[in-house]
Amino acid sequence: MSTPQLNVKSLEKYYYTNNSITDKLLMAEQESVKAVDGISFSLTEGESFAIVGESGCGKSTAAESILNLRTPTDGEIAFNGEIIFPEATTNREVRTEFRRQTQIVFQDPNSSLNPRMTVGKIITEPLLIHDIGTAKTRRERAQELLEEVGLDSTHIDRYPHEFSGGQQQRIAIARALSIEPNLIILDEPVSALDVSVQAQILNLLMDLQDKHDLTYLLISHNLAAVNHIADRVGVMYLGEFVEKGATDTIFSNPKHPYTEALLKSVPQVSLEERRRDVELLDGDVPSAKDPPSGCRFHTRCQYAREECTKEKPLLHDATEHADQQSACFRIDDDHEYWNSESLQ
Amino acid sequence: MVSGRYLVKRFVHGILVVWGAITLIFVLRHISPGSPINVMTPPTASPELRERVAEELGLNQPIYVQYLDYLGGVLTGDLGNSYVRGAPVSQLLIDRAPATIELAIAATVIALIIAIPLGVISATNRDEPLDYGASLASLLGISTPNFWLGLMLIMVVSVQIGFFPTSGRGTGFVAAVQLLVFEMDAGGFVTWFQHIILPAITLGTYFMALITRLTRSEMLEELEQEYVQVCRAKGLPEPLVLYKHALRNSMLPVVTVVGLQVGYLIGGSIVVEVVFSWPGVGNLIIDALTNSDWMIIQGYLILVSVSWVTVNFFVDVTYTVLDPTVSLE
Amino acid sequence: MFSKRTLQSLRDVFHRSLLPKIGLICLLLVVVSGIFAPVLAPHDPTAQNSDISNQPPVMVSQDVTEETVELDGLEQEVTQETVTKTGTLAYPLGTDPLGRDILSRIIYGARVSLVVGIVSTLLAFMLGTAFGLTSGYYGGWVDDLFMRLIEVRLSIPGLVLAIAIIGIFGSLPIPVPDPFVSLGITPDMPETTVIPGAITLVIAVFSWDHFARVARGEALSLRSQNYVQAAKASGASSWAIIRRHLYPNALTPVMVLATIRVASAIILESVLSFLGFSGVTLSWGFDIAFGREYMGTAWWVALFPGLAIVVAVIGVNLMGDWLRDALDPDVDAGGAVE
Repeated sequence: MSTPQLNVKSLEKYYYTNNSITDKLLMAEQESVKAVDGISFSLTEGESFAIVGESGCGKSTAAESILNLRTPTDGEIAFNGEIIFPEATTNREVRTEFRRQTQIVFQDPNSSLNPRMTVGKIITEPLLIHDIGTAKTRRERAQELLEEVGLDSTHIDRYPHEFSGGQQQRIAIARALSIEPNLIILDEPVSALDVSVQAQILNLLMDLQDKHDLTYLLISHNLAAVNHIADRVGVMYLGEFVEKGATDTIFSNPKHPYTEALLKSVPQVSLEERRRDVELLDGDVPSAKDPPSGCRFHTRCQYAREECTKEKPLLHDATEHADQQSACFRIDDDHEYWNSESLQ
Repeated sequence: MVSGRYLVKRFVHGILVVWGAITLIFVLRHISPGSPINVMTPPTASPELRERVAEELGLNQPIYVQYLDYLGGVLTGDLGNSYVRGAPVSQLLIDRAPATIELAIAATVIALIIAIPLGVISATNRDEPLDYGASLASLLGISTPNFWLGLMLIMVVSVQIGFFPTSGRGTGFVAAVQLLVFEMDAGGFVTWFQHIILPAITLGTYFMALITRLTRSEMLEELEQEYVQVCRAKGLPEPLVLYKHALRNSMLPVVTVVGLQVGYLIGGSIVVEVVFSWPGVGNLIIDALTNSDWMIIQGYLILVSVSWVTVNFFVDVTYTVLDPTVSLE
Repeated sequence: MFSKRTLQSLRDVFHRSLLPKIGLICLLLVVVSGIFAPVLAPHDPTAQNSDISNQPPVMVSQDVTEETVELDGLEQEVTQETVTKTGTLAYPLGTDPLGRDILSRIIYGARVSLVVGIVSTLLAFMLGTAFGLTSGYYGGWVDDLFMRLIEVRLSIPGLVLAIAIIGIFGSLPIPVPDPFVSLGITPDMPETTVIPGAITLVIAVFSWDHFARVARGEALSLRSQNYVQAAKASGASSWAIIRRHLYPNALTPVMVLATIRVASAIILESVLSFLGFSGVTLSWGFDIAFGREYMGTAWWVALFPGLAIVVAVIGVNLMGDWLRDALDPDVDAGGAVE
C-alpha cells in the first residue's frame, strides 16, 4: 500500500477555561472542552474525504488543527510520510513544504477576502509568501486563475466588495489554486451561498479536482454536497468519529444510529431540495464540556440501552467486504448490549 | 450577582497592578540622574559626609536589598521621610489628602448633576436648539484647558465682580460640618462653599462635557431600542420611560468612564490646585518636584496608583449591581 | 490610503453639517499660522519694548497702573502712576508688560502646539499600534501580560507621571532653525523655534496605550477573519500577517483616535508649559502662566493665548468627529454587492 498523503492519528484539541495568569496564581480549576477528541483518518492522493456532522461537533476545529491554525493538544499528523505535528519532531523545511502543498477554502467568502486588497493581490498572496515568481509573472498567473475559476480576468484590480458571494468564493478558490497545492481543505465551501450558486461551485470544485489531481478534505453538514463530492466520509459527533468509510456504503446502509438520523433528516439527497440544516434530530447536542458517559450519543439515540451509558463503543468494521467502520454495539451480535435494559 | 470568586480574582488583579506600579516607580527612581545625596548635602560636603548620608539612606546596599526594603516599607505604610522637610511622607500625604479628595468629589458631583440631565435633555430634544446649545457647550468644555478656565473664572468672578476668594481653602468640609452641628453656625459652611466652588467648577468642566456627550449618545441609542417603544405603547408616562428605563441602561458606560476618569481628576487636580493655591496633595507634589524631593514624589505616585485601582475595583462591582445581565466571569 | 467610498462618505458628512466646516477653518487658521509664522507675525514675538508695554487690544481703553523705579543716588524711588492706554492697530491684541506683541506671540505659539501635538501623536501611534496589534494577534499569555502592563500604566495618570519624569530628567528644549529666517525671507524674526523635547516624548509615552487598546481590540476581532487564517495556512509569517492584513484593516478607528489624541496632546502641552516644565519661553501655556501675574490689570495677556488653545483644540476635535462620523468602521468593512 502506498503512503497516504495525509495521515491523522488520534488528533485531539482541547480548550481550557480559567487559563489566565491570575487564574494560575489563584490555582483555579481548569475546565476543558474537548472539541476534537481523538480522531484518526487518512487520505490518499486524488481522493476526497468528508467530515460531516452537526454544527458544533468539532469538524471545523479538526480542519484548523490539521492546518495548525490552532495548535492540536495531542495526536500525530503526517503529510506524505513526513511528520508535521508534533512540531518538536519535525523541521522547518517540512513545515514550509506542508504550507505550500496545502490550502484552505472557507465557508464565508466575504470574510475570507481582505477588503483592502485587490483581487489580484489576494489571489497571488500565497505566491508572495513563498517568494515565487516576479510581480509581473504573479499578475499573469492571477489573470489565468481568474479565467480558470470562471471570472473575468479584467476584474483583477477590483476589490472584493464589488463581487457577489458566489464570485467571491471563486476568488477564494483561485487563491487556493495559485500555488498549485496537492491538498485543499474545503470548510463548508458552499453553505453560505445561494442554493442556485451552490451547484455551480461544487461542479467547479470537481472539475478542478480532475484537472489538477487534487486531494480534498471536505468539512460539511450538507449531506448532499458530501454525497456529490466525497469518496469517503467520517461522521463526527461531539469530537469523535461515530462512523467512517466509503460514502456510497454509508449513505446507502448506515450502521450507526446517528448517521441514520442524519440521513433521515434530509428528505431527498438532491441539491435542489436539500435542507439547510440538520434539524430533525430530537433534543439538543449535549455540551462538549461535559459529554455523556459511555456512548456520547445515548442521550438522543432511539436504540439506547443501559449498556450504552456504561461502556464506550469503539470504531469497528461493520461489514465484511465494504469499507465501513461504526462505533455502535449493535454491529456486534454477541455484545452485552442486547441483554441490557432499554432506556426508553 | 457578584460572585465571591470574581471579587477575589479582581482583587488579585488589583494587587498585581499596584505591585507593577510600585516596581515601575522604584525603577524610575534608580534611573533618574539626580542623586538624593546632592539634595541632602551642600555641594561642598566632604566625601565622608556624603558616605554617611548614603549609608543612612541605605543607598550603598545591593539593589535587591533596597528593593525589598522599599517593598516592605510600602507594605507597612512607611513611605520614608521627605529629604527636604524631614517629616514622614505618609504623614505629609495624609495631611494634604482631604483637601484634594474634597475637591475631586465636589468636581465629580457638580459634573454629574449638570451633565446627566443635560445629556438627557439633549437626547430627547434631538436636533433642536436645546440640543445644539448643549452640544456646543460640551464641545467647548472638552476643548478648554482647565488651568486657563480657572484663571478666567478668577479674573471675571473674583477680581471683577468680587464674588468668591481667588485662592485658598478657607476651612475643611468636616470642620464646617462640625461647626454647623455643634455650634449651629453656618458660617464655616459658607466659607467652605465660597472657597471650593470655583476650583470645583474648573476641575469638573471637562468631566461634565465628557459625560454630557456620553449620556446624550447612550440615551439616543437606548431610545431607539424596542423596549422603549413597548413602554410607551403600554402608556407608561414619558418621564418614567426616560428616567427609569432608558437612563438606567445608559448609565452603564457612564459608570465605566467615571472610573477611568479618576486619573484625569488626580492629574487635573494638580493644575487646579496650583491655579487656586489649594492646599492639597497637588501643590505638595509640585513643591517636591521643584526641590527634587524624590521620597514625596514616590509616595505620591504610590498613593495615586492605589487610589486608581481601588476606585476601579468599586466601579467594576457597581457595574455588576447596575446591570444584572453582566455576569463577570 | 482611502477607498473611493470612504472619500465619498467624508464628502457627504462634510456637506451635511456645519461643524466640520467650522473645524476645518479653526484648524487651517492654526496650521497656517504655525507654518508661516515669521511671514504673518507683525512683530518679532520676543522683542521687548518698555515704551509700549501693557498696551490693551485695539478699540479698548484701560487704566493701567505702572510702577517706575528710579535710582536717586542710593535711594530707590518708586513712583506709581495710573495712565489710560488705548489699543492701536499696530498691536491688535495688545502687548504684555514687557512690551511684546501678543498677536505675534500667539502666531508663533501655534508652532509649538502643532509640533508637540503631531509628533507626540505620531510616536504614540507607532508604538501603540505595534504593541496593540501584536498583543491582540498573539493573544494568550502575551496579551494577558500586556493588558496588565496597560493597567499599570493607567493606574498612574499621564499628567502625574509626565510631571514626575520631566521634573526628574529635565525638559530637553530643542531649538529648530526657522527656514524663513535662514533663507533670508524674514531676517528680523527669531532664528530658531524652540520645541519642548521632553514634553513631546513624555506625551507620546503616555498616550500610546490609547492606541494600543484600540489596535488590540481590532486585532482580536480581525485575527479570526478567514483571510488571516488563509494567509496563516499558506505559511505567512506573523509579521507579514500583521502588516498586510491587520494593520490596513485596523487603521480607520486608529486614525479617528489619532485626531482626538492630537487635541489631548495640545492641551497637555499647554498644561505642562503653564506649570513651567516645558523649558521653552514662547508657547501658549507659557504665556498664560506669564499673564497670570498681571490678570488684575492686563487681562489680555492671559486671555488670548487661552482662546488660541481653545480654537486649536476645537478644530482638531471637530475634525475627529467628522472622521468618526464618516469612517464609521462598518461603512468600510465591505459587504457583497449582489
